[in-house]
Amino acid sequence: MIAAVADAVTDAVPQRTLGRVQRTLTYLVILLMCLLTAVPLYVMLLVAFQPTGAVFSGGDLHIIPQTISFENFTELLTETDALTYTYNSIVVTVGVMVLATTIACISGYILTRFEFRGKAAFSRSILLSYMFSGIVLAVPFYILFQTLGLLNSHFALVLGLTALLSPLNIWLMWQYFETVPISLEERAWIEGASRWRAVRDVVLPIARPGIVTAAIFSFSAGWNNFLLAQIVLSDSEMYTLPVGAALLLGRDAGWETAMSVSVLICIPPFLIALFFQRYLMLGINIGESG
Amino acid sequence: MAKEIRTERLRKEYDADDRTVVANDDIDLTIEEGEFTTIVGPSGCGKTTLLRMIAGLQEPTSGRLYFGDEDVTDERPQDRDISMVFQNIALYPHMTVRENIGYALKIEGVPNEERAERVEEAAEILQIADQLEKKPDALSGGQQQRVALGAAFVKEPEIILFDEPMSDLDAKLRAELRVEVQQLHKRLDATVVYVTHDQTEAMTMSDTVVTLREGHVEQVAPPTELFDFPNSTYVAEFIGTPATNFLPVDLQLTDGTPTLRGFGMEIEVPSEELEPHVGETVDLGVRPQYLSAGGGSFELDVTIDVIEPLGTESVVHATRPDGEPIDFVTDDIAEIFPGDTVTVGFDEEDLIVFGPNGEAVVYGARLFDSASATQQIN
Repeated sequence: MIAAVADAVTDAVPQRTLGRVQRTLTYLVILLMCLLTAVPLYVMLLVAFQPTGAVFSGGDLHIIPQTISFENFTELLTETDALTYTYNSIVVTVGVMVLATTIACISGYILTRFEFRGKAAFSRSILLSYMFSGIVLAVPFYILFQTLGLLNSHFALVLGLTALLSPLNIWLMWQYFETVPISLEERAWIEGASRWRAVRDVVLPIARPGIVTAAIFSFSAGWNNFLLAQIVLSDSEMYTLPVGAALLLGRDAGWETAMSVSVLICIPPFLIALFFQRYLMLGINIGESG
Repeated sequence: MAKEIRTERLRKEYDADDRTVVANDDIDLTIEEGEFTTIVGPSGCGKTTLLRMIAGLQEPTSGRLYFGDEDVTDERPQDRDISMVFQNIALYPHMTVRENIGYALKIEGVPNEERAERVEEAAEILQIADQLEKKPDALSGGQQQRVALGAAFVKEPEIILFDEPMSDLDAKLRAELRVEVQQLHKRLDATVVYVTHDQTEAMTMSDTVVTLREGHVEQVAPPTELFDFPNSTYVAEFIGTPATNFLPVDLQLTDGTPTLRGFGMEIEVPSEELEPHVGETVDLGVRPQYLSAGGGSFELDVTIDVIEPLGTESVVHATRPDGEPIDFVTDDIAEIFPGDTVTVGFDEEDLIVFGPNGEAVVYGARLFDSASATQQIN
């Protein structure tokens, strides 16, 4: 019945009009999705760039800002430890990116090119370990780092984050290296290249998209992590940006300051999403095919 | 300097599931220096394993391998002065054609200027000089193959190995590249080992053909000898198209002379070699090319099934009186049609007698030629 009506409508409406309706509907849905993401971001920006106190002056929030001010940022940089937090975040993030990506490359290559006893069990355990959330491992990590005397160090945070991240990254690089034919390496050996040189000259350049994707995942894990940082770091001098931001919120620093820290936190991921879209998509594709 | 390749009881075993597969079974083989040698056989006969052991990409289970006088069994592929063209061409996708061809020279440490010169010379010979700055995926299949060839010979190795490099190309391109590979071989001072399952490639390009069967060397011979004097039914079937016809006949003694009986024919084969097989059923082999419509010294009637015209000649598929297929090649198909019964025949020097285990016992061409030669002397 409904189908018959739909058919009748389809028959009655000219093709061009139908196309227009479809397009309009599509755009409406996209717009709705964008609004859902964009509105909170907009509010963040709005609050961050208003003069202190302006947001709640008279009790109502102006959707269109009356004035733009960098007052909050000046205050943030001069009167809080935001610069220290930023520096700490950069140290930790770069550390995680280097360590996690390197481990992923080495492990992925070994899984691709070498047969060893227990390989199947190992690959299953990689997947399994990825299923655990960070909170499950938080206390074990704390005990571990305490035993090793590494508590309250960025190194410990880098180690912990790398451990949490490695299953995903290793899996990604493994799947990526599998796409590089062994004959390319064999040709390089026959042409005189050592195993390491063949990897450097042939395998790594071909796997570059995979490596960039792993590095982006590592960045995201390092830059945005809150939980593990809060557990491992006890001295506020050592805090990373997310932990610092929470501290600011907890104190009565005001919403404007909190939102301006948020803006600071958002800038690098935004830039990466902007310039490395292609690689993010690739990570998703590999995940699907693998 | 081209080098001789010699294997001494070279053996390769694999563990597959719970049994051991022998890919190469104690192969003793000498490939002469500077020769073009083809290793041919159906898939799974161990030809690629043998090539990969020569390359050093696979370790032999036992046995020794020599290049010239040097024992290279334990040398890494990097230390053997070889080149290899792979089945999947194996060009580095992120490098330009120039970098692809020049990679071996770069590793060798050849200075930039000389490298550019040698790469350009190679590209000139292979007619890809205008493609040097492109990436491999911008090239056609034939051009990619040429780049792979260029990369293989630019470093002027002692030995060049080919692993079924043309199996993915179309027939026309294959024919074209066959000629180019041969021309390259003439130009170079290198021993070439070429692995293929395509007997046409083996027949057209090689000085010597090595036929492999289930990990064993079945026969080593120049192409024409392989065609006319196959040492087994296996080689007779595999080499040459269409495959050799085999007629099961009884071997009996007539007045003390071994005689083949069957299909209404009676063929005296005065060879002592046959005597141990008297009373057994043997295979009478005749190449389709030597079987002619209209007859010969020995004849049988066949029914035509299908005619495949190939231009100047045609392959005729027919059925012989016992219901089995038989093929022959003729250049005159004007008078024959499917369904017809025609008489085909051959002469005594065209036959080969294979024993019950498939081994060649008597070649008509040798027996009867020498017989007539003896008569002339007398």
